[in-house]
Amino acid sequence: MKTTDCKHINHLLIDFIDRKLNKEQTELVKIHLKECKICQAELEQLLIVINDLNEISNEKPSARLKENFMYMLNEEKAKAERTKVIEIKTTKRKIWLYNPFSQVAAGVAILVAGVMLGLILNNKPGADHEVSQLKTEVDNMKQMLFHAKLDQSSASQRIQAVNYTQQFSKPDKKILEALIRTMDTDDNVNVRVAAIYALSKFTNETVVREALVNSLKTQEDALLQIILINILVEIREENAVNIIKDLLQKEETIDAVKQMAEKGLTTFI
Amino acid sequence: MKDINDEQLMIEVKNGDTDSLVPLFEKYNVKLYNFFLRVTHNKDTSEDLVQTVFSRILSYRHSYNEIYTFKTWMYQMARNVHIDYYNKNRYCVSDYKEPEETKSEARDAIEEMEKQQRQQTLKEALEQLPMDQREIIELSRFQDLKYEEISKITGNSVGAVRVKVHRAIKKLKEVYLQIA
Repeated sequence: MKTTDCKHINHLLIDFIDRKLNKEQTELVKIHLKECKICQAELEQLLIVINDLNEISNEKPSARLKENFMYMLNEEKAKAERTKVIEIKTTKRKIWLYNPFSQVAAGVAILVAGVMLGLILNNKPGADHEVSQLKTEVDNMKQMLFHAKLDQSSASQRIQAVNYTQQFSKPDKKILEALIRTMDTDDNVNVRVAAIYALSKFTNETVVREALVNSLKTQEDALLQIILINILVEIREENAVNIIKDLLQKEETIDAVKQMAEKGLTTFI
Repeated sequence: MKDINDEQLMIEVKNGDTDSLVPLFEKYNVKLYNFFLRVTHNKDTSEDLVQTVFSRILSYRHSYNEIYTFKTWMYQMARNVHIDYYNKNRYCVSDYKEPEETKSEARDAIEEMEKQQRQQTLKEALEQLPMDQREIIELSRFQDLKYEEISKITGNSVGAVRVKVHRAIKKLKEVYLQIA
């Protein structure tokens, strides 16, 4: 009987020391200990170990730990700030109506829809006049968009603006001037290329043909020179012949351009 | 002044007020440091590991759920941090040296010396235990965690934790009394 008791009591000794036992268990251990020397010895040994364990004091970490922690915390805060800014930016992008172009575009759409609806609902005489008036208004809006976009600092935005001109049935003088200016002066070659292609759609305008010829005089980029020669040859712009010849004579003209120039000149003969 | 409990602080951290982590750091960094110190025996490593725990707390703050006590959650992380470290550095060199005793006020020099001697021996005994036993003693004795809390941290049942703690202490007792 005693041995099984000992095994059972043995399991309770540590919790007995830690006062984790309930009343009945505590009583059980106490009674057993009074009559069992083996378990008493066990308890004494455990008491030593546990007391000594409890005595082991904590050491202090160096100041470096706190410093590093504070540094990390500040980094985390800075990171959180950055993500906040990005979040604000993305929400701005999502709320596209805040964008002035989108506002104009939305304005156009609403106007068109409204007037159309009005026309359908009261199909009265004089509607034709209203439609043409509406067309002009839409054209005005588009032109506004074009000018606004062309002033953007991003090259891709300016390319978009230039490409936008293809939607105009008959661009006004201002737009052509802006395109010509872009072709001659934009910092970005790609934007200039886009401007040249946009202008090539309006070569029936004298202004445009003159501008293309003049541009060939001044452009130094080989790619632009080639494109301009191609266009001028295609529209058979006689005024370009002399400039193309000049290019052929120039030492700094690169071979690819010279080849193109030679080939182009043959079509004029 | 009302005491804000750990869980409320952690919820504040979760909601973006990372400064609320400072009081939690103040409260637990020494305990955690000593936890790592006793299992790794390396001061620099222990400081790094404490840092890792708090860095993980920050990274995983969104996953904190107030149904867990902060302490349990933190020790779970500390334990994982230690396991990761242990797996990478099984044969690491200890830089552990006894701290210079500064608080000895010559109350009873002999008793103090004896006590220090005993503590040294106990630490040596602890080192002879396998890692899992050292860890369970660490959690139950040094970090003052209840069996229930250790059960949540380690994923063992409360009964299993209790048995493990007992086995570890008995083993420690044997080694300790042997070398003492």
